[in-house]
Amino acid sequence: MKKINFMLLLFVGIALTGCYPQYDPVYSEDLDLVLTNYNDKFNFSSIKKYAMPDSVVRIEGEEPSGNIQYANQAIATTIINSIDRNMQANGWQKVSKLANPDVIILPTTTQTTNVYYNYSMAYWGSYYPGYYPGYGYGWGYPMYYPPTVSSYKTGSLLMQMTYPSDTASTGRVSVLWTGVINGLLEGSTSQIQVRVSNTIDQAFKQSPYLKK
Amino acid sequence: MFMKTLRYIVLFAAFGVAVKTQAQVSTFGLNYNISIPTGNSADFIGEASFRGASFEYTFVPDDNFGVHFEGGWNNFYEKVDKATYERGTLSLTGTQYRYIESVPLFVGLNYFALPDAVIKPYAALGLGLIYTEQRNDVGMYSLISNGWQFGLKPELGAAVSLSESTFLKLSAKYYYGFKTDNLDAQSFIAFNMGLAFKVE
Repeated sequence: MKKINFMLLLFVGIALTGCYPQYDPVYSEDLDLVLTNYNDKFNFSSIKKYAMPDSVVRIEGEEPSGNIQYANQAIATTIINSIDRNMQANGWQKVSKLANPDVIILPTTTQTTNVYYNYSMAYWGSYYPGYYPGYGYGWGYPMYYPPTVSSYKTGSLLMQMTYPSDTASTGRVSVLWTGVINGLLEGSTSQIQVRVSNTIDQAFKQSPYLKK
Repeated sequence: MFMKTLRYIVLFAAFGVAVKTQAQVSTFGLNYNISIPTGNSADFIGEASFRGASFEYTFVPDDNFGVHFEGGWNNFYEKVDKATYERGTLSLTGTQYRYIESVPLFVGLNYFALPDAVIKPYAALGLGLIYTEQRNDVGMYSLISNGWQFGLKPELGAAVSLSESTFLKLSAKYYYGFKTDNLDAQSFIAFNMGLAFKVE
């Protein structure tokens, strides 16, 4: 009799420990992620002019191979418009890259499994002022490090606010602010556009130091 | 004379056995736990946990006092829609899936107020260790803090005799795990219901 009781207890115990919860996100939005980081030693209120390319580079590895790829233009337009809308609402003024912008925002996307923080500047070689191929600029994240990001099975947008006037002195492209948006590339283009727009708004909302 | 001595010895032995079987009791029990987080744990997860279990081995050498060993497992969970999490200059927004897994291992003392009654109320105090894993899943990220915490556990309950060898146990336990380098102090109240069986 006691043996049976013990077996029963053992069975109930195994059954209970089998209840480990598995909560799977149901909607794509539940996996959307907005991550921002910045150089807190930099005084953002001292600058005002920004420039941004009209296209969004698609990164497929740390170094570009062959022709530079660009993101789907419908999505790229949503990205550029959303960044412009937020920057201007924060009091920034958009200027040409030739009009001495204080900062240059570089939007890049990737559909591979990683965010390449250390992708080569050669991707932006034709756009970035003062960049000469072979000079070998790396990225400079003064006073802070980008978060470790790896093993994405999804699409990511990386926004880097760079500070060109610091580049000559350090030999690195100084990045003042980064925004990473990560999510599942599922649904129609219009559904993705809505999510891209909402998540870029969130990136600026959680970065109040960018307000003028 | 010899027979008389033998009779005394047999009587004494019988009495001794009787004392042993009546007063020295060991039970093994299994409980189902419903837990409510308190303190820092409640700040992280506001919802009650219906996923928990514990086992207890209680040795009662004396009518009123006993010693218990306890191991358990409690899992807390809450989904937080679109929250922003900040650490230094880093801000992270996303839907958060928060978990606390708590595995207490305790040794303690019991005091049984009415050992002979059908319903035996008791109070207990335990000392031990709690393994805590606090996890926050946001998008593809997982922020995990875990470790062993020194723990205290006051407990109130009652054992109800269902038969010669089976008891129904109802209890309320307050678990408190002290702050460590990578974990804040954690606490919760567990309401337990279970069965305990006499073992040899």
